[in-house]
Amino acid sequence: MSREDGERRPRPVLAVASAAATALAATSLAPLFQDRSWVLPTLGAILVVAGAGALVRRFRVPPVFTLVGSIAALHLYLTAVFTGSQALLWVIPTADSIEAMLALLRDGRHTAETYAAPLPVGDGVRIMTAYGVGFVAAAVDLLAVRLRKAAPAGLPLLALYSVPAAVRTESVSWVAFALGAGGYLTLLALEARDRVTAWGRVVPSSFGRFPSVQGSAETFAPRVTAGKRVGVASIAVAVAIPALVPGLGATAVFDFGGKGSGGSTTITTADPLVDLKRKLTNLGDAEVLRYRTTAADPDYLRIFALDVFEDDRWTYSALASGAAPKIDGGTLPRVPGLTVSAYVDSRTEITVAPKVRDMKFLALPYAPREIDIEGDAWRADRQSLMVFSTGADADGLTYTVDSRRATPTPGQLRRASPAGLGRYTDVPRLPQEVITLTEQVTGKARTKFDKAVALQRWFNREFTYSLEPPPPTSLSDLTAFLHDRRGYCEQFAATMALMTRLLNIPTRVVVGYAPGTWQADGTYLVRQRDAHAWPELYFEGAGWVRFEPTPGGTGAPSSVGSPEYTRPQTQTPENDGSEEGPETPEPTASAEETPSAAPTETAAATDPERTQGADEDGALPVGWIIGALLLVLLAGSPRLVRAALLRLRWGPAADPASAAWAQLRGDALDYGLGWQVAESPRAVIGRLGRRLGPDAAEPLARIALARELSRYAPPGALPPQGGAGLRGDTRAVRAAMDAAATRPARVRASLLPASSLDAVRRAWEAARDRLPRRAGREDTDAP
Amino acid sequence: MGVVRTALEALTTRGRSFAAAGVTAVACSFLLGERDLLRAGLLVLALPLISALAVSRTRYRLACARRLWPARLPAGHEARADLRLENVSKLPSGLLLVEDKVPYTLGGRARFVLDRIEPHGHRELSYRLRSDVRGRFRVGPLTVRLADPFGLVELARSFSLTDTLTITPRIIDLPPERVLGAWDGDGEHRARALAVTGEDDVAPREYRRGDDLRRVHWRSTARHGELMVRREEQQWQRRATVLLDTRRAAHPEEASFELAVSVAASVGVHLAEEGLALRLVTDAGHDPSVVERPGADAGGELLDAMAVVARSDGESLVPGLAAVRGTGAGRSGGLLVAVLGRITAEEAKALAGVRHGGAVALLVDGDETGAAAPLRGAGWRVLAPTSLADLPAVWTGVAG
Repeated sequence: MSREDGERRPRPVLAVASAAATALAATSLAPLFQDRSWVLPTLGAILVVAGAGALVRRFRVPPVFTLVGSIAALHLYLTAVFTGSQALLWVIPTADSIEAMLALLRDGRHTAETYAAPLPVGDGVRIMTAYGVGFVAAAVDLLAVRLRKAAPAGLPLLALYSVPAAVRTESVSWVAFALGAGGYLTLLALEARDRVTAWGRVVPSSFGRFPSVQGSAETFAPRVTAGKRVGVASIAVAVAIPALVPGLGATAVFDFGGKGSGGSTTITTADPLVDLKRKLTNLGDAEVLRYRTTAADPDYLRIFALDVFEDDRWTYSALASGAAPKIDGGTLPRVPGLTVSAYVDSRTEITVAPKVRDMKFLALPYAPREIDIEGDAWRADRQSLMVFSTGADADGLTYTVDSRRATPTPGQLRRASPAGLGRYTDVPRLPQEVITLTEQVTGKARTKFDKAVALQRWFNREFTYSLEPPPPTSLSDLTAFLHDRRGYCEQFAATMALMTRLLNIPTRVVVGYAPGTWQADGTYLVRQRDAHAWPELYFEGAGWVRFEPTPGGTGAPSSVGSPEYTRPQTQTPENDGSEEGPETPEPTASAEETPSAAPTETAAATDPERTQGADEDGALPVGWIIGALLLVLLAGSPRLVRAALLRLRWGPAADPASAAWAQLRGDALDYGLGWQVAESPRAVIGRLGRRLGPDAAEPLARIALARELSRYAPPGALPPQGGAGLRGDTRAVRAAMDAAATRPARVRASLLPASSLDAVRRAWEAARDRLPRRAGREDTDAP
Repeated sequence: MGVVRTALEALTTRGRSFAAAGVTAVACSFLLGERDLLRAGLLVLALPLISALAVSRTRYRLACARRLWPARLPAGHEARADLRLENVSKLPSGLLLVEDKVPYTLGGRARFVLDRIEPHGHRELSYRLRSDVRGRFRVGPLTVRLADPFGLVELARSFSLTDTLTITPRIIDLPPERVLGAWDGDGEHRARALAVTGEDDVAPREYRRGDDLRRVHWRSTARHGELMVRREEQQWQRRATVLLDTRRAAHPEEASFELAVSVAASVGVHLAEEGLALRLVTDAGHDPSVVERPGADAGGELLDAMAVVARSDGESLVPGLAAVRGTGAGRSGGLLVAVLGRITAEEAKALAGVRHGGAVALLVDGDETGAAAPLRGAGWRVLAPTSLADLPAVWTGVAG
């Protein structure tokens, strides 16, 4: 009969669905690779596994053979595809082909370890992916088709899905999630449908005749579509709600509130500038890091390089799109553009304060050449030389960096042709006013370098430092800044960068720290308020050099000195760290004040992520903790009510006899022993005594006696034992009740004492009875 | 709210596991700050909840009717049960798992899967019932489980409606015959029939309300001074008594008893079809479930009784004999058919003493020797069918 058939041999559609579910779940892998060439071998692997599974199932063999067969087939297939030339008859593995395959796998592993997320796809990566997905397909096939347990088949699929979730800091795209979920739910529905079909005869919806007994049950394909709506709704919930929950996912890693730019980036950060203002106004004195350097005067410490101006703000887009390699062995990618200029090498040992939280980007002097740091998750972006981690934090770490600072002469910079690097000169449509202003300010300068210097001088001279304006969030804020001529480093850096881009000079905005304060022990101390932002301009031959439009002094909140490098000379720019004049003859002026002055000022100006990270970190859990506390409170409220009742009942003014009686009543209710108002004290203790056994008899008798005395004896007749004794008696009775109660009753009495509810009800009834309608309503309460 | 709770309680093990896994995953996702895990957790959590909601939302009212056809049938034949499920609410139903409880001997449960029933639509389901064992069986009640397409929720609802299927013993048709005339007159000779039955046919009785005035016996009325009517209906009625020995002692084997039941049923039905009023007497006495009146119904009632008759632990035939003798059958009797198992010579003598002539003994246990002689001596016809199939031949033989 069809029923047994259905049980033994699943419908092939189930096998198809499980293969499809695996394939759909594998779509979430897409962002891990730079191109699509992994798709074909992976799809092939899935199909081969499904086919082998179906083949093995034809023979009625134990489930484990299905798995073995699938994986063997997978291996043959991959041998044929990747190492066919070394294999016998293209399929059968030989020692050579196995060797070659192992080599490929090693290669794939190496690639995965060396590069950040979008991996360059070679044979190694392809074969690794195909193997991995193939294994998942085999597991899903085994579970869902052979063992007919589609629900646990979700686990291997989840494992597949968790790969990109774990590797990439960004969330898996919701589309990929929805696809994978859809595949799984379809599989689930089909399997459930199969079970139902095996359970009974399927009667088609469009019904015209009686199905006969032998009924062509199977010919009516059951409608899986019935689950469509529920499935879609579930997926929608699963996609929508996380989107509404703040503080989760990629952004949580960086503790910035902002947005990630889309696309293929591995690491996006929110706008590092976004919280500058808030932190600056804190004038945080908290230590961020200390460092010791061989440089005569230290350079700024860079953290972020913001290379894209979009949505009216500076941000950085594609950190990993250039396949950020690991800083394996400490050597970083070569310094872009530094060819002609002279340079100074220095070594800096930086210790991050332990309190700093979630520091995923290293603060480094430009340009880092070699880094010695614990942990292997550190990667360097080729373009910006930002160094960041996909895993570890730098909190509390000490690391050493060798850096090379270009020291070009103004002449070199004047001669430099800032060609190429087109994306660093992209600007949005700027208000005409800005363009005009730029032309005015730089009109007289002949070279691009001179124009940049003119701009910087203009900013330094014509603008004042102030933390009052809000952080720029739109172009109109920028124009406002140009009118008000007041602002802080963020506005200066952002605006100057836009203007130099208008001048076709490749520019990016860098966020980091000013050099900090020199300490007696020879180290420099960088505090929160040393956070800073400045533009970097690219000149061929020297590479990226720093400019400093932010003026020092007057309005700057920091009490300490004004920024040396910004103010002094018209041509700061000739070395990329303008502030430390010493190396170049010109910036002498700035030289003196270097160590202490510069940092303090900038401190006022800025301060990026550090401490703020800690704050936000705290914020999320607090909400949850409060929620949990509320929940606990709610759950515990009956207990609390009971405790309060106790205190009230046995208060100093209370009559011990009635208190004991009320207590007895409450306890009886708690343990579900019932209570009738009509019962006389004797009747009650008789009934309870029988339930509770001899131990409780005496205390019960005393309580009843006290009750009777207080009720019926002339006033003043005191119970033989005092209030304390009565209270002890009630405790003994409660203990006896507890001993006699069943376990659930005991738990209920302890956690959800019914007497508390009863008290509330009585209070309510009392209040209601006080209303004119009706008085004197007796309460009866049996639980 | 109650609806939702019912639905939540209806979660299957899978549904509960999903919900639990979902909660865990969501909690972990908050601990770990993983949005991706949150998604997976929410999916797994939302699925059973939404399914439960969907199922509870489509809590509709269903009407169910069942028809067994035929409701009484001999063992070894098939009956058909027709179910009609109607969705009387305004919402379409979801997936329905319909199960009619059917005793195992009738083939076990009948299960159907319905995709949906549109509002005010209905489905007709049918299945067959068959049993090789006689008896009276309860079919139903019908259970409907509302399920979701993912197997996460099942909400069971039961109807209370049950029907009774009576599986009668196997019977065999006996050839229509005149043979009965030999015992009971054939209707053409009423007078003789009356004579044979021995009742004082002209004895009138008092008029009772409802008696047909045409039946007033005026002569007797004149004599008695009150309205008297003829008791003719009794006289015209031809009667037969079937005596079935159900004692365990008489039927040490199940097979012998079943044969006795089948024989008794076959003969009884045959006689009823011939128009005789039937009485059923067992060793324990008169069985009132067969109402003594002519017509086809008598056969049906006899079959019903035969469907459930079981071997008794009685020791003695005496109550049965008393019933045969006492209630008039002994006196006038009509035909007496005794279906017997193993009986002792004494019992046979006692039986023979009940009735002289006008009686058939069917000895199903094949043991003719000891019992047959006294009965034959009393004018009984003694038949010994060895199987049911044998019966027509034996019966005809008697006739001849």
